[in-house]
Amino acid sequence: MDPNGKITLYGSKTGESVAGNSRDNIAQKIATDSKIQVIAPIDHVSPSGIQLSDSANFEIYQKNNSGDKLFKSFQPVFDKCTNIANPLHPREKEAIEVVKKEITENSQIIHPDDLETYLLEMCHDNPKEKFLYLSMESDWNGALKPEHKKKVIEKISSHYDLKFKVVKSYNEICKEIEQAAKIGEIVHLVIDGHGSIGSIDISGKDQMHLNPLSYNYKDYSCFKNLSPSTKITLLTCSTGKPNAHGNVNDNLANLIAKKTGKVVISPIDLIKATEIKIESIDDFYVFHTDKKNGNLFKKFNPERVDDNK
Amino acid sequence: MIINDLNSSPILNQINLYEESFYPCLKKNNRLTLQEKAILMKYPEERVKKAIEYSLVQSPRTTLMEQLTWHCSQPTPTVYRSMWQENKLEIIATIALSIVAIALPVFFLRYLESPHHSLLLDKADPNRLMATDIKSFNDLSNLKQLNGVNISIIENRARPGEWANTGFIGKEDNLLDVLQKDWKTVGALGTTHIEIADHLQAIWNISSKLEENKENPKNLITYDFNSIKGNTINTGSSIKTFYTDYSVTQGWQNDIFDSCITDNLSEDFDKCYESFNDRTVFGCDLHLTNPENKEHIHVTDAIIQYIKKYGFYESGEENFYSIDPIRLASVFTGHRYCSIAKAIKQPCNSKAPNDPYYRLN
Repeated sequence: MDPNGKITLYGSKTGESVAGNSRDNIAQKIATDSKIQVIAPIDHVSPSGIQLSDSANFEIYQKNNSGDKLFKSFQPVFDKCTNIANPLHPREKEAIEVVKKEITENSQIIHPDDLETYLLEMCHDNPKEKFLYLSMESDWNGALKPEHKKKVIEKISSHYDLKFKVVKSYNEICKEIEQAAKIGEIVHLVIDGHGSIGSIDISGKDQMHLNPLSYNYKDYSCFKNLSPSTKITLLTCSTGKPNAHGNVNDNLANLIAKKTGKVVISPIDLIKATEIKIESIDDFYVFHTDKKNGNLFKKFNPERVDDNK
Repeated sequence: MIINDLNSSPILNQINLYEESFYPCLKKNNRLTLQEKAILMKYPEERVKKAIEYSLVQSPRTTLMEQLTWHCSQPTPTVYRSMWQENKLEIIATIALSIVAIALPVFFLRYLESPHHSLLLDKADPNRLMATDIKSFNDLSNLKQLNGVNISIIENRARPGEWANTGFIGKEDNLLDVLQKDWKTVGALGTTHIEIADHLQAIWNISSKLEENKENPKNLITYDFNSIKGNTINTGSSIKTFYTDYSVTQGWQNDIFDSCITDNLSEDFDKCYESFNDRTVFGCDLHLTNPENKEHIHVTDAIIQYIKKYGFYESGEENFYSIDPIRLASVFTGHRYCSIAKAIKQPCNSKAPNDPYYRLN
């Protein structure tokens, strides 16, 4: 079964808490064993009262006399996971809260506190594709706050085995890539930060620079730990911008594509945190439009630089 | 009728004989016939004289002769009183009311249209501190460098495609000319760059704290201009509402007045700064719209500082980050752009640059 699928149980009380333990029921057992999300009622349901709230995603609901939703979401439990860094970076905590709020609004997740695991860890036994989301520590204007990208992060977290991590240096980027690659094949790497045509700011002091004479020029050799098909998305302003002479390949996105041999998706101009949307979650493609350029995100192909248009 | 009788009377010739004996006032009167003059001779000379004088200023309702005989037969001579003399108070009141009725709405409209009552044009004080780093018009005329950087270097950085795609001034613009022009405008508006920047910063502070509002994406805010000490703008009606659209970018804009790098050819900030965080960088935006007149400005964190320090509002036809001070005054007050331009004797021909990021239209 597709790891992004879900099992819905109509049986009354299949998700009922037993002696106050909301994990001791058939719904949680199925979720844990199958590694698939289970939707189940926590009390009696009336078959005629079940309604469909979202036909595309087959979301059902029924409310009891108090107006509470009866159907809850039971998440799989994984045990072969990486460890959560402790203490958490404030932005990581915020990411958890944002996703918790977003999911609770939609799906009534039964154990929202488990999100810490789902959002900040990758697990060997999670059949979902691995997604590494690295948020650069330097954020001078608050643009990297998860609140601005709550829909994006929530969608990624529900579709992929996501690790959301704030990094303070280029070495930490390498370390995270290396660790994640040990868990499984990373299909997507997101670098979320402040950028310009020739640089990405990691910590204020540490940067990724286009200029080979800069001491912040990196060789990206640690990116070899990613799989050949890993796609890199730069959520950074202007890193794919054409230079002053109109050359579309003289920018940091193209340098990273060439150095890593990966497809890089990058904006060609200024982007605003709240305007980034997901075009396709399956192959994770983002978009951000302005009246002048349309979608600002373009693909930088490592093999044929001429295609980078 | 007596006259008719006389006209037909055989004694007509007899009357003619007496013409030489008519009152002097009748002798030289061409408007009366001999017969009429003869009839009037039966009244005292003084009465006839007054009756003739009266007829000169008061047109007869029937005939002249009837008016004269009526006048002479009155117990006392009727004195001519013009309509003005007769209805003086009534006329004064009517005229006054008419003036009020016509002029008041015109005056009221013009008053509303005019920025005088809010942007205190007549109270402009040439000695006021205009900006923090260029203090007066005199300082502006002697400007050679700003923040320790030569004007020519700043000008090069400010060109489109240099430190910013849109540039901070137009391709052919001279920085000092740009400053002079906007300083004159703001001086004519009777305010200071410091005051404008303080209001923008206060509005910015309110807007930047708002969460994205799904119900009201325009984020309507209320701002009291009197919240700034010594405010001279919108003093009569200090509370205004604005649509705000605040956003943060995932990049940064370097400060063209940055003194760390003094050589324009070099852009390597790494050599100048220990850390990126030590630098002054910009990259937040606020779209501010007055719902009254739909006028709009694109405010950046950079321009608020530039206005306050230097009275620099940027320029360039394609530079949608530049702010026309007249448009800014129009946004602040709700008055039409042209009314303000007219009030300070500037042409009403400014067109706002096309802003690809403006979302409220």
